Amino acid sequence: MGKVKSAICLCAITLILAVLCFVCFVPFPTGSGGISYYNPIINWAEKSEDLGGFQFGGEDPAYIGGSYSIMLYPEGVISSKEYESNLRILEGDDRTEYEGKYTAHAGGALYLSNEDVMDGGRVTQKFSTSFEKRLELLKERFSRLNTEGTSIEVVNDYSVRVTMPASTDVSVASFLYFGYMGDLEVSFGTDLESAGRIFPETNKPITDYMKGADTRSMNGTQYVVLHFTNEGQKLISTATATAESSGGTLFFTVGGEQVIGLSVSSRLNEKDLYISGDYSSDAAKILSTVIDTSVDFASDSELGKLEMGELYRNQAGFGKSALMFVYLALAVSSVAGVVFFFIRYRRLGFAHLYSFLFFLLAMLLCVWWIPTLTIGMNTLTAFILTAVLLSVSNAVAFENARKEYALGKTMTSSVKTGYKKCFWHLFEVHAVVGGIGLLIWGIALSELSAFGLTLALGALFSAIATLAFNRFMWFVMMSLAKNQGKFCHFVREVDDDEE
Amino acid sequence: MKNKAKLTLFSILSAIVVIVGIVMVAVFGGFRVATDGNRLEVCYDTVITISGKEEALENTCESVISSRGLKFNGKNNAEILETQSLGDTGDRVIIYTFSKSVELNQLQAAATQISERVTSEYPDADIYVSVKASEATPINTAAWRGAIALAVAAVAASVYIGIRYGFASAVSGFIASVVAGLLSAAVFAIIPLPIYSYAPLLYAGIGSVFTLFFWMLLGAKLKVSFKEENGVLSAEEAVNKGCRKGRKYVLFFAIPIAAAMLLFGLLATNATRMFFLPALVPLLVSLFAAMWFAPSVMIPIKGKTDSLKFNPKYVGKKKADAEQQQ
Repeated sequence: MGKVKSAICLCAITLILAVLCFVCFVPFPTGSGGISYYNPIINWAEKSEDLGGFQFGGEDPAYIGGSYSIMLYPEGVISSKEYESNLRILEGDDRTEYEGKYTAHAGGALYLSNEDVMDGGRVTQKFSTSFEKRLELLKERFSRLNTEGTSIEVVNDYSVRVTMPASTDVSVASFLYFGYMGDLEVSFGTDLESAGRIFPETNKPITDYMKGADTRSMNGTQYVVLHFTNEGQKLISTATATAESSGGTLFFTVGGEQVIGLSVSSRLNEKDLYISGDYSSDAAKILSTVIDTSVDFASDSELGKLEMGELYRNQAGFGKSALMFVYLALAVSSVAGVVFFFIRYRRLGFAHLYSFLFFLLAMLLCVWWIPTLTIGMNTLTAFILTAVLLSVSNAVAFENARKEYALGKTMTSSVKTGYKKCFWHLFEVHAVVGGIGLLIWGIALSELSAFGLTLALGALFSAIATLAFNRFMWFVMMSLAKNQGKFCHFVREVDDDEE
Repeated sequence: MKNKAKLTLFSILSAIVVIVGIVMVAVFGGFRVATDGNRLEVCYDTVITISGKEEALENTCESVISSRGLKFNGKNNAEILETQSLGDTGDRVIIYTFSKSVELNQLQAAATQISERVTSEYPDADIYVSVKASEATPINTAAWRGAIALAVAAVAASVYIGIRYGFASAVSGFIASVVAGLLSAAVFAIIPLPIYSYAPLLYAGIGSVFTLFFWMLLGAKLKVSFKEENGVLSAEEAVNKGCRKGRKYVLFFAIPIAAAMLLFGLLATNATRMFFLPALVPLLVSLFAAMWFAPSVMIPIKGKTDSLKFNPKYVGKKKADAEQQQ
């Protein structure tokens, strides 16, 4: 490549990288008074439940990251706050009567109903077993939702705290619907109260009528698909026979709470009923999970609902300044890596700098663009590992070329032979890391799955950066150098015979 | 030291660490992690009573906590939202998290004192202090799917090593990766390092995967070395020679990874430190497993495969004559 072409190419690439760096990392005011700000992509990118930060601009800037957490209470259990606020408004006999209804538990953190939960001053075995089963069902539901960063804790023995990352927009819906437990019933009528039950009939399990539920996506529309047995199909068909003339709604309830209300205007006679209600894929998944698990856990049909209590919007679990320090650590380690290259290879360090920037920008854009990825400890770990892979690969390529140059070859020949010697080794290492990442992404769930995907993406971009982009940049920069050996800090071996 | 003695020593040491780890897990009913613990929550109303005095309130709470000789692991600020509309209720909560070693009654006493202090300092305030004892319950499906994913990745990497670098490399790499996983978990069982509840299993997986990765790098150098020697050296000499050459390539990767983990651990907050610094344990364990344990396992296996490959064996007169003619 000629000098002019190289210069144009270098300028164009520098300009593109500079613009992308600006768009990705630099906030700036867009109006007077510092009210409107351009938030760079790194600020827009979703943060995990552990990390979070405010966006720029305005008096009340948006908080990205952190989590939502909800307290769920079984029937007969209330928080001390609720107990005391109820007690505060009561006086005289009412107060005494209310006090007599509850027993303090865990040092007064919870109040347990003497009627529903306690017997003879002790929690009944029936309630304990029922709570355990509810917890199992809840865990099963959230595991099927497979959202990264979800955690479930038992609080003070008989209440549950569920935490979901704020990056998901279905957390509150899942808190509500996943708390519905008990009998799955299907009824038909004009409203839920007056609707006539279709099934299950008394003393018959729901599994006689329904096989389960899942979701389908067709032409951009999300469906909840309900699968009936022959008997279920027949009963639905019979019940909806009058729908053509008078209409009605098919209600699917769990523990008496409506999960789906399907408007029906003609007789339904399908074994697999596709329901679309402008659902997002997550909303469809939540509804199908509630119904499917209610079929799977049909033997535990007497479980009561878990009521929503306090709903918190938590800031970063790792603390306010965690994200800033993580960025600082990233910046310091990146600069340290680049400085090493500048010390060892002088101006050839620019080739590494460009390839590292390419890798960094590609990774950030992926984390921003792919909905399942957030800036969290798992993605950061995968990023660090693949950034090291990129740096070591560049160093291996440079060292190979250095050895060739030392033997007396021209720079072009040294680069070509150096790369030739290590190309397949580097390709192999990247392929294995990427393959491991893909396997983990495909098999694991939540955090580990996101780690696998980031590892695979990191290996891909590291391979492109080291095997193609770095070499190309070297080629472009080399054309502009007067003394190519000096440019790369490569020296020839001293010939003993000549001395 | 002869390889047989080395292998015996490594095996015994590894077995002791793993057995002690298992005993510790059995005694304490699991790993002694730092994050599962109790919370002290201070709810307050920002709209009417505490507006602009949030920092003073936090200082009051923290002075009571420290005056009682307690130390919290983490602090978080949360908004309390309407459950239906997700609207802001104007209520806020300061959440202090304590380790399991802090007794519940100590926290309850602190909560009572905080309640009394803030009631006297902010007489009109609507402040409520509570203690919540939390117990994390793992979502089992995610845990076993994660374990399967790591196991499949380890087997796939071993198969790849087998195809690329031979049977002896694959078997020794796989054994070393299993040992590295067990050792990493055992170290966290024995030493109560401040780590997250999910960390022991995650670090065990990292230990296994790192071992295979490092062993693969070493395998490439061993393959070149074996080719050069072509059966002239004994298995032990050939493996030791190849390892001497290959170890620096492993360190090329391991040192920058360790430096980055150290940097992240030292620069970041207490919470991020608890993630990155313990990650050095599986890294060190995997270096031991890949650079010393796996080669010592490989030597006897390679000895057997080499003896099959290079030693002459009886093939019958007819076949020998035919081969000679060819």
